[in-house]
Amino acid sequence: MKEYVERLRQAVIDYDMEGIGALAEEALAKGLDPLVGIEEGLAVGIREVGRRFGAGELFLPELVMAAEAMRAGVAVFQPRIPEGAGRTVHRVLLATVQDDIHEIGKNLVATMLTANGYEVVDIGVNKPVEEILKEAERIGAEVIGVSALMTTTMPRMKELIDAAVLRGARHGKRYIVGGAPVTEQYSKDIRADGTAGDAPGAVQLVNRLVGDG
Amino acid sequence: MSGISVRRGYPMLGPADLDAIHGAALEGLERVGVRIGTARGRRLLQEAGARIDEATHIAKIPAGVIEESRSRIPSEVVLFGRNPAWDAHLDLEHVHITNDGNGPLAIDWQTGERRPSTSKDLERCALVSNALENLHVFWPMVPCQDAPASVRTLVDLKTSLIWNDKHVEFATAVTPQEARHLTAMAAAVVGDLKELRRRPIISSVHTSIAPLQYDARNMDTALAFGEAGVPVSIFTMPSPGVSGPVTLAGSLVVAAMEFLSGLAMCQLANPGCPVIWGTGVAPLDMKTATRAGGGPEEGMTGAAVTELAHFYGVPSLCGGFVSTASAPGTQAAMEKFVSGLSLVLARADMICGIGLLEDCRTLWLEQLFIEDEMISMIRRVADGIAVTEETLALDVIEKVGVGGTFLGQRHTMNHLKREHFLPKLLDRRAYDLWVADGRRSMEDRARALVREALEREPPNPLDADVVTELDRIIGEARRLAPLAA
Repeated sequence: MKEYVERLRQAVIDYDMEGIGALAEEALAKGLDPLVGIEEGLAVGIREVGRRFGAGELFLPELVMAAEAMRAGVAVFQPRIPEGAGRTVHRVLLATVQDDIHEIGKNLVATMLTANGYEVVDIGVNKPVEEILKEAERIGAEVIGVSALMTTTMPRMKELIDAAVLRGARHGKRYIVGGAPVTEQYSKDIRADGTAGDAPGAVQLVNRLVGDG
Repeated sequence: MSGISVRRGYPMLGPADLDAIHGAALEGLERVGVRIGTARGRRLLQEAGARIDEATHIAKIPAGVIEESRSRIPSEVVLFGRNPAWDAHLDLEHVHITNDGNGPLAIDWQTGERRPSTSKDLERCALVSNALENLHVFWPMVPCQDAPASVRTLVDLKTSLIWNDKHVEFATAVTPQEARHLTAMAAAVVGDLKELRRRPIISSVHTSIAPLQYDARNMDTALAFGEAGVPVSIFTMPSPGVSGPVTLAGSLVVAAMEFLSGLAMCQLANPGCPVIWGTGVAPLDMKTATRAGGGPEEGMTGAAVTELAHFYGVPSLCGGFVSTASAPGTQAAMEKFVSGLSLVLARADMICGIGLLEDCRTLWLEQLFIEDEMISMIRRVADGIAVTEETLALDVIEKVGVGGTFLGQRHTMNHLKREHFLPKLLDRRAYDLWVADGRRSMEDRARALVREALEREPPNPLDADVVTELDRIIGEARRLAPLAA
């Protein structure tokens, strides 16, 4: 079994998107515990890839391909995990605020968070405060990340956090903000839980807030 | 090893311009002539059909003499490396980079003080040069001023050979005797003179004196190198408005007259010898009275000389990546980029200039890495946009579809390193990360790379007995020197 765990880990590191599904099936047929396959195989592999990317050894497409490989592996293992033995996944909701349709940065953050093992629900652009809070509640997001590219839409971030405070949704959830006009100071002023200048920084931020790092 | 390839060149001159400059140069050689300081050169030209005024030493050279010498040009000049992996084939297609040479000053690596250069500086130049991605030929960037003047050029060569394994080009040999000693040193490294003729691992630069003059000793030295099969560059550098017409086309005519008469002497003395057209045509700044080597003109004229040189069938050696700035920074980057870009896109066979500031005067080791990165960027421009079924990628576009991402496609990674310039020194991180990392400048980052490079060992060390032989030749030269310093 140890051999399969090692091979799964390596398949993620080698971003074997095409071959990892068959490997996972084979491992299951030989009796590998699907939860072990995910947590000791795939997840360890993706953490190693994340570490190498952070150290400047890998390019973003390699990270994304490794995440694709991980996703393909999880798709095989997940349905075979017995009820009640579920694994802990940190869920992140991402959106671009109302009246703003810019999404390149947000999408990169989504990609990188996914590649680092987070479950990301990206609800898209031009999202009103109400919808963001409702969706976050529905999916049980631990982190809510909102993006704005324009100074004119940036105040929506403050509206979101104020609304969350009003309805008691501030507690137990983390709110992060990002986008070209957003600075560390603005994030503090509106009492957000943090911001980052780029997508790798966003991963570090989320790691600090809810993850293992 | 080939140099930088250029998918689609950017011509500075059209075919009619080339014809016009060539025509004017031929007419000028016949009507105005060139002062030939060397008696040997005058005799060679006279025997070939030139008219010599023995009082002024001016040779008026008919077109037939030039045509005859052009017919003797070798098909290709190769600058062989001590390590054959560095052989630079000047095939008129690829661009090669060489350091700038002969800067008399250096910024002391440890103290930052600006002072006369020493052999230690040259060693450091070589170590840093060894670590560059885009350096093909080594030019001793600074002279070893701690060595006696009588043998300094020889010590420069010895130091260059010990600390680097690429071809060595130099520009400080000024007597035929020096040429013989330098040739003997290179022969000691490759085996003997016969092997050196087959694989010349050194080459020498000789300047004409603008406008339209050749010094006796300098040209005799070039001819002595030619006898041994060592390539020579005839370096022409009229300054537009001072030692050439203010118009760039006019100064190109002067440069062409100087080069063609020099080429004729070389080919008449040693038929088939390898000759390169060197050029550094930069205006004088008419307000500060300093040479404006960092202006756009030097790259433009170098591009034009390259086209003329290729028309004649010889490679070019162009001054480029020049800056008049006193310190690294914005001005140095602007000046170096503008000439470098013009020259690479013109397919200049060799470009010399990296690593020095103050118009080729002062060594800054950090500049070598900064300019190496600049060359990598220009190399990307030169590589152009490849259009094939694979690069058009319609199948990948279909696979990803509307609204998807190409990040996770194998196609992306398969082509990334060729399609995108990947920086080593440019800092593209977000502001906060830059601040957190100590707000380091380009120069700071380059300094870190220099520090690493200085810790490495030189490649392919010379055998101890070869070094002994080099020292013996230097000792002999010192005894023979009329003014032993």
